[in-house]
Amino acid sequence: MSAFLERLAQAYDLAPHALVGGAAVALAAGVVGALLRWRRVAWAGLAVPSAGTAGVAFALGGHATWHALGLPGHGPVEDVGLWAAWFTAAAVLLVVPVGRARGRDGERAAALCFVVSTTLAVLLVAESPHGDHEVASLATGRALLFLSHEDMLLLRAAMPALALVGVLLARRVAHLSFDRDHARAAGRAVVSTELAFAGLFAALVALGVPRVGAPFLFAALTVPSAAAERVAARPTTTAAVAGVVAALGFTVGATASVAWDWPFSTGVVAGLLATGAAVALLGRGARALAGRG
Amino acid sequence: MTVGVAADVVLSARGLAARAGGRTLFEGLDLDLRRGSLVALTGPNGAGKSTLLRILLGLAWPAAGRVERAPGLTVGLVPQLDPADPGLPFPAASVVAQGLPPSPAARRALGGAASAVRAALDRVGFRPPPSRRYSVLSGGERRRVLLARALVGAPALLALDEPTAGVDAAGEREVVALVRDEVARRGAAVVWVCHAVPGVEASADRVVAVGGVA
Repeated sequence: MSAFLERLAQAYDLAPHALVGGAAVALAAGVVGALLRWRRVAWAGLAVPSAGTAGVAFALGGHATWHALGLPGHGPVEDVGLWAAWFTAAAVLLVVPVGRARGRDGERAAALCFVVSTTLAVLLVAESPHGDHEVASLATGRALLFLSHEDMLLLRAAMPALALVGVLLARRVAHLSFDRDHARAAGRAVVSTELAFAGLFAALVALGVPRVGAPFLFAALTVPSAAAERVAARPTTTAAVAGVVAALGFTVGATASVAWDWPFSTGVVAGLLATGAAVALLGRGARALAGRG
Repeated sequence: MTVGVAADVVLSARGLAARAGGRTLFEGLDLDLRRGSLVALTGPNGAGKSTLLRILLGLAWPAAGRVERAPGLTVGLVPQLDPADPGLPFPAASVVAQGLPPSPAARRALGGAASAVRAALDRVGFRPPPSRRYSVLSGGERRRVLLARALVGAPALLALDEPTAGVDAAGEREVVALVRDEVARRGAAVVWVCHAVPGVEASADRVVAVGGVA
């Protein structure tokens, strides 16, 4: 215990940023993950963050690759946020509409997006003098420990707002996921809801991937939402619970990574899985008790 | 398209035609749906009944013709096929609540969302607890939930595409009586797609044989 406290004290300078920033991202990702599951595009939770990572790699290695290929001009500017956003937007436009229109084609589009993004990221990073370090930091979660003051301001403002938008959208997204024809016949704003959903997902990934990395985001999008469905029923409640489970799971995982000196990503993914499993078991137990009653 | 319909007409179609797979399903079809009236759409499988209903509701485009709807028309729909993705975890009450109007004032006018949902489920004879997930209900129970969703918002137009498919004979009679009551008591306009449901064609103000003689 004393060793753990010692490590916690050593990490204290870094921990507040990592804990607050990570919990904010987890909160938003949990909510958006619930909407992703209802739209049956949960696999986009892996493919789109991978594209965001490719965008980061492009920003870091694009310039060197440009010159290595002998192309004219100055090549792409090294702006991680900008390229992560462009790559994310392209992936969302490819994967989400195809997935909704034709399920199997959506899976193929997601697989294609994942393979191309991952390959591109590896090739670009290989050409970059410092890209391998940056991308490795994102993969292991180390980047989260070095969030800048500006990053913190952005995450603290944007992520709760994204979570709130997701909770407010939950009922509409659930309706059109369940029965799109009914939503249209009833005069609901189906197209604007779908656009808002795609924009919400893209904003979360574009802001999250360059700061917390794809493995954390993927786990926070998929695990808490699956667990929340075991304890909540109504769409708005389920989305909100998924956000809370994600934030809690992140906190548990971050604490575990300090306690056992795990890579941050490993700790966070393990924390999300453990918390998700505990919540799901709690839900099953509650239902069993209610059934007996 | 909301022009030039008579006061009691909620939806008016003129010269409608639909084609599928290179064949004409129907053409030159005129139809008025009036408040307090029931129109039955009949015909064999593949005649285009559901296609016609989708065109009337603006869910599909006609090959020819036009549809005019009363301004602010509210619609309650029971689709032909079960719309549910079986994995979606929503309870029956949440599915019914999809039929409520979005504005809080309109919900209050119905006596509040929760009580309106309970009342609609009671009206259609839904016996399981409202918290039971839609995905685990039987086919007949699902049809009742979808009918409750169509009724809960007290819409001006009820569009029912084989709403009694999978419902037992007693349940079918209850549904017919319920819809008649909606027409008589509340003045709803009803368009009902059916094959041969006893009581529907008899009480219809107009029977449209789709793919045949109108």
